[in-house]
Amino acid sequence: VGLDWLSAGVGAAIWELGKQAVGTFLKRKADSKDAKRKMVREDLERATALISDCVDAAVAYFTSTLMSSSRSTLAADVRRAVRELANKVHQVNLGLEALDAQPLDQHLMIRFRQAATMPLDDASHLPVAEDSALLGSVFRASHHFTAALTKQRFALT
Amino acid sequence: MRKPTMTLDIANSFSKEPAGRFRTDGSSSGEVFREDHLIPALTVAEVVEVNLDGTEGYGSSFLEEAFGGLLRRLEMSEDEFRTRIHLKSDDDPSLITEVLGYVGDESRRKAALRPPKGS
Repeated sequence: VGLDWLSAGVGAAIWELGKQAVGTFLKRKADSKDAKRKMVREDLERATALISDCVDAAVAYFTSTLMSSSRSTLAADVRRAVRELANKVHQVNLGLEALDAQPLDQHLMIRFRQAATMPLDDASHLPVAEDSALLGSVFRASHHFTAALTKQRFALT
Repeated sequence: MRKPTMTLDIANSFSKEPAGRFRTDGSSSGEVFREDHLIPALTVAEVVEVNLDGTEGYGSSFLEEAFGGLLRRLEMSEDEFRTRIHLKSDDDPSLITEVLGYVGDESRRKAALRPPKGS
């Protein structure tokens, strides 16, 4: 009887310890997932801000009336801003993959880069009559991109 | 005889600021990269690995002219492009998708221009 009582006590203690360990493990896992989600949400916010930076740089380029040499400096600013955005979007996608979530469609980034940079290289001369139409394309691409980032951010809340 | 592989690091061996489509756009244009770096590399190596990382960013027309233009310039198919040119972009994988899109577009354009068999 004494031994039965002892083994039942030890069994209960082991059960309790096991429960605690599993509970701690699950809590840590949940905390770590929450932290990852928070990080991705912040990256998505940062990416949205970087889209604005790209649009600002594109506006500066397309509304400039500078000589071509100065325009190429403004064009380099646009390319740099777009590169920064692309790097952040890649970071977001790595974060989403780590959360087993669907990454952002790469074509959002590609379409945005095309809208913002294709005219820079193809019009490395003084402002052209189509500047306002080209700027319109940048705005449209930025709206689509921003909407997709916002949707993804809400999906993570 | 060609050597098996060769690496072209755009940032280090071409330009940190690749920009422009044609040679007339400047010395860092897509045409200059294709004609003075990529095509010579393809004549000496079976596979050319092109590292896109480390630049200040790319314009889409640089990418189109450098890589899509390769199919216009050489008798190269999309399959041969994929076999012989390996693109690397750890910083931004969308660049690779974009380039392969231009290569596919150019391949389809060439196929559409080809006269039908038997004509």
